[in-house]
Amino acid sequence: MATPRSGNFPDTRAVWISDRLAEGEAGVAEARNFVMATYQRPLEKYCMALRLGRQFGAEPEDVVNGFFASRLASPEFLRSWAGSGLRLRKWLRNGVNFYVREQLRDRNAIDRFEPPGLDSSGQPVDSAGTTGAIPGEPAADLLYDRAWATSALEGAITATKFALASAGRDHYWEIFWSSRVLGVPNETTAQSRGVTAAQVRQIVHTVADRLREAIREVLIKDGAKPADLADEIRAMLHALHDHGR
Amino acid sequence: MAADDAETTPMSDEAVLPLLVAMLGDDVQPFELLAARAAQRAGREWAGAILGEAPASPLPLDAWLAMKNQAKRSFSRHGLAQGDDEALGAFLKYLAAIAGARRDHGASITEMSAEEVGRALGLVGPYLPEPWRACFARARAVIDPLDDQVV
Repeated sequence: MATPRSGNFPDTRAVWISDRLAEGEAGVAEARNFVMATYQRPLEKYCMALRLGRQFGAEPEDVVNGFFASRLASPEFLRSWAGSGLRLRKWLRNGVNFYVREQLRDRNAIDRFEPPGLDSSGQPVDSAGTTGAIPGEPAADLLYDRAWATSALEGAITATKFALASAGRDHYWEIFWSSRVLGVPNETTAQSRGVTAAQVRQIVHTVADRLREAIREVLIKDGAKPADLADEIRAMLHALHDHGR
Repeated sequence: MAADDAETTPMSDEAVLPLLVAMLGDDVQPFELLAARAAQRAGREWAGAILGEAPASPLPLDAWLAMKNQAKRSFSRHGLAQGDDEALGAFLKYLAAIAGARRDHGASITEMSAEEVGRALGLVGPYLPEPWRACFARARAVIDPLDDQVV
């Protein structure tokens, strides 16, 4: 269990999306864009693993696009999440399951349909139909977590590179990559860049800090508690490393 | 390779570990830094050069203990925290001795908890050359999480 850290951030879930929804149309659009950019691919992987949509001839991409069009059109969907206590990715995964079930019902493609208000195990769900636990296949959940972690990591990298480029420091990323990912000795990098090894160390440190800040933002938007950052990163490591090998 | 030649396309398996470990900042554990080092390009060669050939037949427990104690004298917490190559190399030897004692004798020769040893072996092991990779995997497989009795 992580020890609460210095408290630079409020220990409140769903603040970012709630704030965006309160800003009116522009904020709603920003929240919607974030959800689609971050969760589209993971949800497609999930649909692919469970073959969701195949019953009515839809490809995973079509299912997720349909789900987003159906749910994100109204800010109420994300507003409901903000009060759910669930992580956004779990909420969306559950939402896709319910969306597919609705599609099947509408097409009369299933013999039995659980009435609104109850999930398949008889547990109550809210009006958005997303609170109940979905007994998904573990393998699909692992794939989903892995795809989400990849998306989150890519988002953090993109944000970091953008911030560096905006400050005219594109080369910082290259130096960081060379040192931390490729393992080029700092002295070698310093020589090729015309800087000192101490400067290389400082640049690597600066980029690592920015990356950490960027992943924190992605995680908070997903509903993570800021105090749990290290545990969250280790969970990503577990998803991407242990299950990716 | 010079930094100018660096390929910065992310998300290869080898890139994921160093990137996530970099994000841990001050929360990072020594074995996570070691895994990130071993995952780097040429990291396997680096690890192989430090560890040398693994003994084909089991070593006496005393030999693993001696290796561990010698390695322990060669690293400091400060050096590890800085990601210093020499300190990481010594820590790799330390972990290898722990793995060897586990593999050959099912013995714990460290104050690290069984859970922590398991996580360290699982994270670092896949980036090592054979036969160390198999040694770490075997050691991890025989860890009894309830048995933290140190030899």
